[in-house]
Amino acid sequence: MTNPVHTFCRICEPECPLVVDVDGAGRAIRLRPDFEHPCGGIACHKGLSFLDVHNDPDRLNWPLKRQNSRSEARGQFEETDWDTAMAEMGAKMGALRERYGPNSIAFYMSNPAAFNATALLMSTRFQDIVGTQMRFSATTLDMSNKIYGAGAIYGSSSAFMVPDIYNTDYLLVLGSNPKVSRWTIFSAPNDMDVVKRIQDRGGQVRFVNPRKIESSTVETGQTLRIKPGADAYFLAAVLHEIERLHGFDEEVLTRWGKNVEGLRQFIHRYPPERVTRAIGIDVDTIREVATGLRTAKSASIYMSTGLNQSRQGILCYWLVEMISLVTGNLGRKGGSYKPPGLINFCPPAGATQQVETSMGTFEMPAPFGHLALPMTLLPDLIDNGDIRALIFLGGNPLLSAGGEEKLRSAFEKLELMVSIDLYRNASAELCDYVLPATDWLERPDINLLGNGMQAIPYVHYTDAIEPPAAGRRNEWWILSRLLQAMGLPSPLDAQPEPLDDAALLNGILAAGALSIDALRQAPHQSVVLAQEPRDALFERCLQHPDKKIDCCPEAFSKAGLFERCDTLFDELENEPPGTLRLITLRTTHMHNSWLSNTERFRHGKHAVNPLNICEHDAAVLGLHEGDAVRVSSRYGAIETRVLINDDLRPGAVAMSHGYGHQASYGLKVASAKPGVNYNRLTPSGPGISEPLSNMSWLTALPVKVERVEHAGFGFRGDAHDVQAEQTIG
Amino acid sequence: MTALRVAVVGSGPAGLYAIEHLLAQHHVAVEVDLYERLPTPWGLVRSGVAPDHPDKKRVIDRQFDFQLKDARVRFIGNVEIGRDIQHAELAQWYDGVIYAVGAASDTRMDLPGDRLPGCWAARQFVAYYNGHPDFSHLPFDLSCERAVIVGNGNVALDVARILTMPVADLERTDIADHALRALRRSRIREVVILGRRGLLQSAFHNPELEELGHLDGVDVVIEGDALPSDATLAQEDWDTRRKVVTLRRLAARPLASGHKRIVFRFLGSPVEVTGAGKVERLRFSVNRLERDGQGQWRAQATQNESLLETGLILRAVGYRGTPLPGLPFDERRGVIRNREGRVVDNDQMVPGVYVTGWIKRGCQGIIGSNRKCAHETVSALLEDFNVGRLPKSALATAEVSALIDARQPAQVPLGGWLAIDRYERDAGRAQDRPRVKITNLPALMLMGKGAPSAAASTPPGVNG
Repeated sequence: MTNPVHTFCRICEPECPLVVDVDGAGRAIRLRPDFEHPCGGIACHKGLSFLDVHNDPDRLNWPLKRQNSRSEARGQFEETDWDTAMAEMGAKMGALRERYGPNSIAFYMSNPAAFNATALLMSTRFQDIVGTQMRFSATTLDMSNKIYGAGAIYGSSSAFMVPDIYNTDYLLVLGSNPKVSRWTIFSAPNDMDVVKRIQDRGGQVRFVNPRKIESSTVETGQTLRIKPGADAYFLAAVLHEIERLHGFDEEVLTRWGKNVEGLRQFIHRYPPERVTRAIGIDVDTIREVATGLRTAKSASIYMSTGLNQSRQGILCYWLVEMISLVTGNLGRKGGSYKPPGLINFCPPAGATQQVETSMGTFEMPAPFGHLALPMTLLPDLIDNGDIRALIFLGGNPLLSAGGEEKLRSAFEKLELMVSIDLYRNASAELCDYVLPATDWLERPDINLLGNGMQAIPYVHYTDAIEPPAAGRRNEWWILSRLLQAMGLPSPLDAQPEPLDDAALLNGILAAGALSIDALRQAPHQSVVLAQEPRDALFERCLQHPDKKIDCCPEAFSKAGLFERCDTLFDELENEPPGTLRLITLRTTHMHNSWLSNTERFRHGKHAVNPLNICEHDAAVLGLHEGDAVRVSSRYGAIETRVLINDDLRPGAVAMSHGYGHQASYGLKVASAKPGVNYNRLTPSGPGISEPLSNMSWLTALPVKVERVEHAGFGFRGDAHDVQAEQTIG
Repeated sequence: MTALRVAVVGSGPAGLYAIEHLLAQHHVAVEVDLYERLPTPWGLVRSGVAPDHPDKKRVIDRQFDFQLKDARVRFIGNVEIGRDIQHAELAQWYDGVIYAVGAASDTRMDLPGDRLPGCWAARQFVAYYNGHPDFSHLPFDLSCERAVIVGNGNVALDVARILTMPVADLERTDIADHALRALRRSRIREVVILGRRGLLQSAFHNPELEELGHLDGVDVVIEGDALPSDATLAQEDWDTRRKVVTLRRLAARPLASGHKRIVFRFLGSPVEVTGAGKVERLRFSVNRLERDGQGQWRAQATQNESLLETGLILRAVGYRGTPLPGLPFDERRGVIRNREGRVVDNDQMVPGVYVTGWIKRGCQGIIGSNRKCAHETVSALLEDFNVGRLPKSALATAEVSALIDARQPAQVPLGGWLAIDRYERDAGRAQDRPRVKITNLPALMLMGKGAPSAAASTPPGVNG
């Protein structure tokens, strides 16, 4: 006898609706898609397999305290109770704050915490109350260029336009593979069916990616295989062509645009004939895309992580928004627009604050919002003594941020390091305290992350399906309790009931005149919000004082983005033939480092993260499938095995990140199949991150690839180096 | 605690899936010695899967290669159990032994005249065109115009396809070079696939049948049984209905004079092979169907007989396991006697000895079927370990290594196989083929001596 209960997945942005079958004892026994949900989202196997995470015996249950020095890779942990852990951490942090100031306490907000409405809110309040400006976030690993860019162009850092994929006649998708990764900063369920329908109704879809991605099929549209890291020049050349063909909608530009001349000057530097060799796409194809965008009844453009992470995220984002604007597709049905949301408001950007550090002064927004200091400077700021204590909220930066070795040695210097997580992961292994958080079946929640970015806008509420096991606590409670322990004001002061999240959630829901009670009574515990006219964005999102769209923000040139763009172009153009650039690759079997301890996602080839390389490049290098190779960049080297993959264009090689669990002693499955850490190859340090957005450089890195001997490869009498072998095999 | 030491005998899918399960568990550390009588691993994936089916071999790169290269696994090639080392010794050297030796023989028909030159097991021809070193030298004579395959399972269809498809298509595969040469000279125009029962009882699967429709220059003809009416068909299952739809479509295509032919001859059983010093004719009975006691359709010979002129007869009526000295064998089923993978002799479990794959369950199923089969066997082994039913070997790894060295100094270790593999793939790349196989034992041994340097030579350009 089971009871079906509605909830939703919190692994990626569609937050697909789910039904949980709960048995008589109140235990979740099965997850299945909620086929009847009005959004039409059908969960994939990652979400449907989440009970493997929920029931994983490696999950944290009680606070752990490290007993030995952080210089030892393997921690000796002992369980402790919450009161003791809180008292000790609070005393330590209070003392550090007293002695070195609030900025000595740094906070790292990860991607999983964004899928937890109460944690998302509480993390900001926590940092505000502590008073620290040392704020780090996974946003600078995956999308902070969009946050900064939206603020600069539209005047609000939450003015994220989304493609109208249900109505568009031409869809251009860059650096994104929605079939595998779904969309990000855009929440659209049942993606590929919607995309297939574009062709069915006579429209066109083009993907731009160095790899022929899974999303690209005869039913959707083809991939233009661009050179890694060259997208800004492709977009500039497309705009150049649109202008040449008189495709700029002067009426729209006069009505809504400003500084249009700056945009024109920029694109005039990159005509198709100039960029074609550097980007690896021929002139005719560039023209074809420009014509497609210009002549389609409606056209929409979407860019994502591949562009965000390849050094010029702000400029790429700017050019994408400009293509929408100049072709008249911004706010047009079938173009791009800003959907309504629970919180139907785009707060103005503008006010700033200075963050003084040993690595220079950073001008950051006030309030911070979701922007953060560069992750690439975290090790330096620790080394220099700016930061004394560090708190991870659901994070594993050793595997997800650039430069593992620098980070690891910096972490050893911290006076206090705390991880709030489901698991004792690689980064938590170094922490003094590891605190057990709830997973998404153990807490009430709403789908706040997709707010204002959903193709079908709706609000979804879920109860906790099971009460938190053992001593697990929701993140908001942990942070609130930590504030109390530091002797600071805390939401728990007024509301001492420790497990009642309802007040927080009702507070958010009130913005949309909703409540938990109202949602509980709605079908699927969801309320669909009415769509607005597509052009409502002009009223709602333009937050510069003059209500104009800035077509060439002054900050870009002041920060040197355009000179940098030229320099990087020269690098691309003068690249020696045969240069390989490494790009990231997400598979259907991994999601950052999240599912690494789930056996069913680690079979066969998924036991490791191989180097994907096309047959042409493999032949040049004398490599075959399964060979052991050393992949090295200017910043580091790793060894893995070869997987021949002809979806890649010559010159592009690909690997998945989130692997490298050699020292994840708290993860039995992951440490037995560790793979290698892609982010040993990515850079860290001054001068690396993109100016203004502080985005890291995590893809399109030049690398060298060479074949190596498998150590002790089964030859009689050879000693087996298990560690080295496992990274390979 | 010392590791659980297991010997796996046979490096085909059965053995490698067993290793996968042994390595995947987290309860006990394991060390696996993988014995293979050839210098090359992969069993029937290398020597059985048809060369024009590269997708079926992807399981090597996507799955088996990971087990083979795992640090806990030691490949010991060119060592044969029963020849170089006896079972009783192996049982003493390890905590557990898993036999995954497959089926080394085939079901015989004992037909008058079937010893005449030109009459072979299809298994031999398959191993021949796939470059198995024990079969590469076989003198297949393809100078006749008609070949007859007895039996209509997937192996029969594989062989029929290889015999009729354009050689140019095979030149892009990893088919053995000697087979390519023979096929270029082949004069075979027609391949008859003889099945004892009717069309509705045919043994081949749908994908294999449908493939025949895509062969350039090959027509498909149906003889001996009528295509059933829609009314009859309605009672059949989905697979059978789909088969008939395909056969109807194939039979309806106009025949072209220049084309080769694959003829499905249903309701015929071979009676006698005749010829002067070699195969010249096959006489077969014309059958009808009768229901047996269980309601199954059985072929029953009628008085009528028919004669086919042919110079090549290939028996594709099933593979069969062979006994291993020292282990209880079920002659009827051709398997080592076992219960859920535990070897049993007179209802007594033989401690520490297990089987998996065809030698456990008989010759049926596809590559992936061995995964589940191996799971059962490995679970039994681990359970026996947990409750202390496994005999503990008194020997250390080094002592076992010395004993193997004494028995067979000419082993091919993993590095040796990798050298072979690299040579074959390099040669293949030069001809735009997946690989060019080394097909004789001396050459394999020469290439696979296992000098580490053989696998380490860095090609030019890598450091650029």
